[in-house]
Amino acid sequence: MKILTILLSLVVFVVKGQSNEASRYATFKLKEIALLNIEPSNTSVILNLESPKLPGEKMTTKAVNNTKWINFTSSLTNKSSSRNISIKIEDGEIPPGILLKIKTDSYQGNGKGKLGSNSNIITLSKKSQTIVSDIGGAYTGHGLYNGYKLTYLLDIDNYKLLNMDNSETLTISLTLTDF
Amino acid sequence: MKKYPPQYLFFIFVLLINFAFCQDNNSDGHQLQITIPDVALISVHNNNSAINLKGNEITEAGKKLTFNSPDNSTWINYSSIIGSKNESHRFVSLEISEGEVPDGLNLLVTASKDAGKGNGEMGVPIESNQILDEAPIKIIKNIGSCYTGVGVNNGTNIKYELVLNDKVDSYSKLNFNQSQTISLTYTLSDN
Repeated sequence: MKILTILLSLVVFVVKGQSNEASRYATFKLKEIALLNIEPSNTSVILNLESPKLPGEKMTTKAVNNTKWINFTSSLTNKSSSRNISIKIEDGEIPPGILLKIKTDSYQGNGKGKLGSNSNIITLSKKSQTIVSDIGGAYTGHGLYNGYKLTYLLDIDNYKLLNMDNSETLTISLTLTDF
Repeated sequence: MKKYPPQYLFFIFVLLINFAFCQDNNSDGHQLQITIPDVALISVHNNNSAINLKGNEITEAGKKLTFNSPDNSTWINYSSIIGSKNESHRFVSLEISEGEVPDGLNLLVTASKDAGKGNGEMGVPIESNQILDEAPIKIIKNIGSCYTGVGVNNGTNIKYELVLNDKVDSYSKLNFNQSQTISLTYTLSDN
């Protein structure tokens, strides 16, 4: 009964509100939107250096789970011309001797609009770097296989700095920004 | 107490829902794990199944017995990842694990510099002759994280040499019945 009262009140409220606005204004406003999320969410990217099989061999890198997808929705106002997606290491340190790289594939999926263009492979750091540029009004579609596919890679940069006590968990952040 | 009309309560409810959805904003993040394992692997490579060190045939009476030139057909390869906490460096040691060097003789070992086929901190070879014994001796020190490459001509070349020992009576102790096969064991261990 209570719910019914609330719902009825809502109808009254909405109808009242709409009629007020309609009578006074004739403008229709589109909001500026910048939404981004990573799929699959709540899973860690896991990159392991693996012990060689034969003595004398180099360590190999093994990716247990190293791909993510970026979904976004963007609409712009006249003021801003385009947007970028930037990436950085938010928290944690890359173990010494290792380079963490990211490959951004070109857009895939069933979205529409000015979806932007991907950058080459970059080496991640604490500094923000652009991986997708020139995004206009667009949506990528939702979930896996929609948007930009990211692939994380490890490279050994300085072998003698590798240290088994330096295993690390990092936090990576991605942001859809104004140009 | 003043009672609010249900419209207001609903309005607040809608606002709260809006806040909840606002968490889906213009940035997102995820975790990334990087793991580095402990590695300590060593192997010995030689194109021959065994090394044969022997005395040269004496062709003229009165000449001293000499031994064939040093053998350096053996290579050791290793892969190592150290840890700064407990295992900051490693070393390679060598010992006679089976058999005995015949009386009057010494078996000498020399490790040469790394062949440069791998990468990392290969360590420092002990390039002077050391006498092999049943007790392990260090032949390469201060090995860090590295790999040498695989097979002969990779890693460290090992030279074995058989010589008369320094004792006065060494020559008199030589005995042709004492030809021996001995086993040598290399170990890569933590400092």
